[in-house]
Amino acid sequence: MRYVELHARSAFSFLRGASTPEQLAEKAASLALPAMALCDRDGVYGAPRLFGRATEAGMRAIVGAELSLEDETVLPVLVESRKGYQNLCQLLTRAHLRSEKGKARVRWDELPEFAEGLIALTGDEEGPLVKAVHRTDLGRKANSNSPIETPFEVLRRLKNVFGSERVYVEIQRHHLRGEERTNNALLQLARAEGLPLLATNGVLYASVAERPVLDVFTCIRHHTHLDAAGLLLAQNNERCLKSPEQMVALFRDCPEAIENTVRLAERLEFTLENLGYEFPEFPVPEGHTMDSFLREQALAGARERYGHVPEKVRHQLDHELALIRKLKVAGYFLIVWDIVRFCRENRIMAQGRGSAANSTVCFCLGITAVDPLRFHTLFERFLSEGRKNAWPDIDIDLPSGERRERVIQEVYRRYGPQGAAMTANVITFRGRSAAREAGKALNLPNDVLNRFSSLYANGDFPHTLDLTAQMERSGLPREHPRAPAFVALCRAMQGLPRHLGQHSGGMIISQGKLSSIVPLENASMPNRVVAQWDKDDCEDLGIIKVDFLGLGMMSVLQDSVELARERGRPVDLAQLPQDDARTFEMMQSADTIGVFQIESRAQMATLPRMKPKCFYDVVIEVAIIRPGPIQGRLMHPYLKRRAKREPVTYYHPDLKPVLERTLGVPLFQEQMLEIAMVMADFNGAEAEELRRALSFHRSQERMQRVEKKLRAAMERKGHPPQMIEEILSAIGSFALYGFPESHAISFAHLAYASAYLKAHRAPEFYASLLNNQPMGFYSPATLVKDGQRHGVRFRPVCVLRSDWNCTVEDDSGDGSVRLGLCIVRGLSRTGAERLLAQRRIRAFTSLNDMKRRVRLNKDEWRALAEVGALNCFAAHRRDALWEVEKELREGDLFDEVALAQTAPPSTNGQAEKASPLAPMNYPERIRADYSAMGLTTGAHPMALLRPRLTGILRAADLPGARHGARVRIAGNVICRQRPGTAKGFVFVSLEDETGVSNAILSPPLFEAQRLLVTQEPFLVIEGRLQHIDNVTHVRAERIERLEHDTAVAVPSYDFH
Amino acid sequence: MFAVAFIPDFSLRALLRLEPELQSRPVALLDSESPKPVVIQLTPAARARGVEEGLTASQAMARCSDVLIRSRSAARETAATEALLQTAYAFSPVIEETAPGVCTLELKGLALDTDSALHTWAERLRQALVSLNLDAQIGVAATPALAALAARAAAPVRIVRDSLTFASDLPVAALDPSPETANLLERWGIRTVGALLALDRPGLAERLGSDALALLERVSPGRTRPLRQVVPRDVFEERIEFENEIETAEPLLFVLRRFVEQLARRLEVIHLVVGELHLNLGLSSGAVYEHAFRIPAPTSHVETLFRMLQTHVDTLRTDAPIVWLRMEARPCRPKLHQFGLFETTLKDPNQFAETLARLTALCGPGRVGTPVREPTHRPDAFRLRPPQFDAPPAPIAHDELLLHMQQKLDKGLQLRRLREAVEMEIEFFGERPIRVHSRVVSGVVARARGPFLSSGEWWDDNRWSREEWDVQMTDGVLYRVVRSPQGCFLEGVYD
Repeated sequence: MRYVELHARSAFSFLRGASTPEQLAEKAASLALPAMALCDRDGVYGAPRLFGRATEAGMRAIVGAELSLEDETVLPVLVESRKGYQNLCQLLTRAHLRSEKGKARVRWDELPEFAEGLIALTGDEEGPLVKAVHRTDLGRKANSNSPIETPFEVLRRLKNVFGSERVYVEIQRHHLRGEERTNNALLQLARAEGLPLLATNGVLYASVAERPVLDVFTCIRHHTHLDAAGLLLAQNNERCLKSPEQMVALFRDCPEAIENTVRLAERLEFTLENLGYEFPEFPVPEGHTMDSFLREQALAGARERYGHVPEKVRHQLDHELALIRKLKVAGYFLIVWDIVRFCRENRIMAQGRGSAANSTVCFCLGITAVDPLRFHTLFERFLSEGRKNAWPDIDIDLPSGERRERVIQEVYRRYGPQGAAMTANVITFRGRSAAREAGKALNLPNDVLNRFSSLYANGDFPHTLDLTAQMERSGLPREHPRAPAFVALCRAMQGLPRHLGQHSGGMIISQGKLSSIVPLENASMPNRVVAQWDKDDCEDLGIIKVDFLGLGMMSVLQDSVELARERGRPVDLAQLPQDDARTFEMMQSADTIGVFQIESRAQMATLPRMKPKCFYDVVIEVAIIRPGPIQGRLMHPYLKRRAKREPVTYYHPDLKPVLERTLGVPLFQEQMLEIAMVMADFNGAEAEELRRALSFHRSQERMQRVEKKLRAAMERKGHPPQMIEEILSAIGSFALYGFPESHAISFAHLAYASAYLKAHRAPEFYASLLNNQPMGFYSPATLVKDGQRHGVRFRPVCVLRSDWNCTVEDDSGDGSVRLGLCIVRGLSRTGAERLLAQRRIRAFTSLNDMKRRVRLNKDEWRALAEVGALNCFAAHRRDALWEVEKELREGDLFDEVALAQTAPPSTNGQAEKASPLAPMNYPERIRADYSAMGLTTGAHPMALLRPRLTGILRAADLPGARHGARVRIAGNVICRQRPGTAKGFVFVSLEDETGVSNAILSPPLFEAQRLLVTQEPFLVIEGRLQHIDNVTHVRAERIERLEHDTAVAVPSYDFH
Repeated sequence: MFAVAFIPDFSLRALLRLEPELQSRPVALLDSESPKPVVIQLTPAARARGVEEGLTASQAMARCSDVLIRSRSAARETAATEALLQTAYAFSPVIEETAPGVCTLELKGLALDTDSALHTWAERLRQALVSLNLDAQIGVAATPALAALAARAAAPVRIVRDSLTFASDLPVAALDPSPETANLLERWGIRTVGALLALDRPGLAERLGSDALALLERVSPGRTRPLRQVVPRDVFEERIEFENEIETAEPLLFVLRRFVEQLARRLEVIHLVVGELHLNLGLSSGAVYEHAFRIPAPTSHVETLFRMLQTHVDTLRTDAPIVWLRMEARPCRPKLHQFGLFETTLKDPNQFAETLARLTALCGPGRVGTPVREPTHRPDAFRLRPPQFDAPPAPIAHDELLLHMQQKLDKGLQLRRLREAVEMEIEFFGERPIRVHSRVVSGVVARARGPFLSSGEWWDDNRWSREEWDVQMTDGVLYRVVRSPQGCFLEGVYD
């Protein structure tokens, strides 16, 4: 007795299905279905996941899709052959690319072109045939002259398009009154037209338990709630996967409909196993193969990198190039090299990260900045024969923003809009969004949902309230009749797809048409095309991707270098001294605001204990403050061992070579793999499986499977249970965001370079940081104050001196930062460009001259006046505010002549007639600065409040205060963090006029004062002062609001 | 001369008018319509606890954990505005709805020549508004604009004769400049009317244009304007959203009495009586209960009206707690009726209406009316539409008709329903019924078709599921039987 389900939708039909493809595959396997087809709506979004899980379960995954047709009917098609698959992908691509997102419609007249290799089913209640049957039932055809097709006409049209052998009349039974009438009609139609019948269950979810989710999704799609949805909702829960026995029983009167499912499935030979994907070939000069050309370029690069190529390097290159040749991936290296070359030629900084940093070839080609031989990193981690998909994975960091976009558009230009695409990013329901949508569907009051959201932890960080407690605190009592449904829905919806976005930088390219491999769609961003699969799916199916990741810090570094060069004090990031004392001093004292990766509160609390002394210490610092090592309790042992407070030990003596460089504590992904190889005799393929499990954030189950294997292998080798547990715990927690070593090295490069620039090119560095906002942990206001504490002078915006960006002016000392026009809120880029263009033609001689020549709107003039940018023409800001309001008389010849003869601008404010307005006082100026720029070059708001603060220590006073003393600190909250690894403790940073002071709040204190802590911009915190390992903080005992009639707050960086 | 009745914090006042006990508690009002709702008005108790305008609800709660956060209610503001205008109309025939919570009255022809007379008149107006729980401030001056300023500065009545002296110390916001002008003046550091007046007038006009002149004219005693005269609408409505859901009659009656008193008082002012009362109760389930009370003998007698409501409410049962209440009084002129010689009438029509209400109440709520099918899969789901004897029957839509035809076609046979369904025992073999037993029919099932499965409302206590079978007995009669968590039932016989 066999049956194959050939019509199922998953949650990748986006609100039209309620189970993941994985759930469907598992359920189907448990029901002993030999195969199943996934027909997601207008795409093959879920196909790779079904394929992956089905293959693991020994089941065949058939590819299909439901096509939305122009007449609003839905036609399911199944893929018979690779040609059919290519046709389906191209058909879907064509429909998507000409339509708005989510509104792709296939035209009947284009179906014949793509019908080869596809099988059509007549569909369910949305299908063209059943709709025609219903219309005929209603007698509309008879009573109207409209060109509505009869069921016969529909069937004949399908036969014409697909051929008689490729159309199946689909029947479904869901235990509904009236459906037999339709089925009888379908039966008769099939017989009359000589078409085979096919039983399906039109599956929308794996098991009956998921029907509520589908009802909720229906509500979301129709913008309604369950109480009002009425007949839109499912009538019963029969559209789950059913066993062959159930289906045979359902169709006992029509056995051929069941038998046909098996016959048809056997006919559908195509699976995603062999997509026919090929990476593009790289055009090489005459007389070269790709391999020889790659060798030539690598050797040329080596000579450039090393001068004379050392034997060790030559040997390593030979080794790598041999493997590259064997795996036939030279083209990939050349294409990436070519893109990096494009970046270099266009003055766009580019740096490979990730495992590519393990490759000497990549280093010599200039793709990466890390010399693997120096750090003894393992090339096999990047490329090895044992890997399932032997393709290498190169991620390129680029300056974020326009420069990265130029690179992406260049790739589109080279490979054509249908030859390259961004990988998708599947947006899933997360805690907050699942709760909101479930709550809305349940018709719960908005204020309850708002409170629920505001109590939710931000980002990935878990929070201490469980779902039920959070619900109760939001005003929905446990006894509420809908509370159980709310909780169940929140849980069930988590992780289900909501819609398709685009990955921030992952691109895939193909030899020939990529649109034959995977359907492509328009992204919401203009000029971007996105594939229907995410990067993991692409990787699973052997499609090579290149990640073009935007890093704000890359922009900062590039801008800083250019500013320094312009000022005649160039710096070469490739040649930075790796032992710069000032840079390490800054790191050791946690003076790292603005520095890449090591500026967070947790990093700053570790730096004084870690005391980095060399570059590799920075690598460890970058890697150690991650949830993985912290949760695995690896951070403290490392720090203690480093401080020689505990001995260096190893899980096993055999692991000494693996863990020696990290004092016996596993910190990097590579070490995890080596541990598995040494302790459990994992071979290359198994280690690769472990690597993939460590990289797959989405699959806990995948990790558990590998862990089980690892445990069994270690037990077989007779290792003691405690040691096994320790190793498994380290590996298990590492799965949560642990770093590969090569990645940490790449990031450490950026961290070191940014710290170096902060130490030696401070004005350029701060100017660049301000020009690339938003980025990092701190607001521009905090960055300016940090810069001032480092002796950098920040000069206000001035229409005679400021550029669009912040610039560095040569004056006394290292120079000072001139705030750019970009800082002024309300001044448009085009307005500023007009101003700068006019200034380039001729300097402005007066405000009137400027007003005549530059067209800005009133708000822009006011914004400039308010921040003092017009003070060069006025006695004070209000004077300028008074003047900019004055309308200019157009075309006054005498005025023009007079202006042309006017002397250069007077900056003493006497050029224009003084206004009757009083100048702003100091607090007013600060307020105006914050309101119009979000920062001030003047005093910190806390300096204004200071005279009325008694008994409150400043940040600068804390190091001098006694350990254990009861102190009060106050300031503007610039950071609230509640990491999941901190057991509910909350870290709050307060900024005042002297610096930043840090407080730690216990979970009970935070829960008691949650809203005060999370909502108030200024706080006073009282508690015990602690100086531990050069780290100073206050253990909070009391928190209160700091009243601030005049102060203005900067936004904080919150994770709570 | 002109007078202005000004109600400070009008939106909040409109909200608290029917809940005066909240006046002394910390209450903050949010404009929930705005993209980022912030506190816009608050009670003195809330201010004393650190709450201020511009805070979000969460921020307000951070400062004062027991602050009561309420949202603006357009309905209550409309009701308060109408009460204000209707009251003012009783004091002057020429009134203007100047702004929310601001009503300007022309005093010409009212023979209020002396300050003392003006003061007495203004105090009477204020008292009338206070009796409606609208704490007003009254300003009297030579122009509408000055009167408005005087009202804002009044405590609680102010009569202004020397406009310049009076205006100098006022905040410039009192002139009610446009948001753009207010913003600009703030940037200029101009915070008082005196500072504004001190500015160079041509320079000001050059920069602010007509807006500046309009501002200056507001404090000029010689610049008056005609009022945009309004006549208050004949709509008398009160509405309240309950802070806590109402589950018993007592608090409901408490509010209803307040409503009746308010509405009766408002009608008395204009010499009208209540002809109809319309009651709407919003339930937490989202449903709305409606009831109309026709007052056979229109009256504004509070006790009579309230008794009618009380009778109804005493036996009222709702499916869910009440979350809001609306009452509308439709006024009419008092009837002076003389009956014909052979015409019979009731001695007390209101008493008769009350009796009818009692009968309706005895039958149970929702048991009077026309059944209408609910658009849901739940079998037999219907609601009762209250009788609408005056309204013509609604025409059936074309689609509805087609659907009806479709359903008839689907059914084929006509089903005669048993009301109520008869309890039944059904014996199954495997999943199919083979024998049934009930007081209507018992015996062996010859043929069975089904099951037809349906279920729904899984999200709360109303969840249901059922399994229907059509069974044919050996005598050829066809029945519909149902199995559900409540048991097995014989639901009908096919003709």
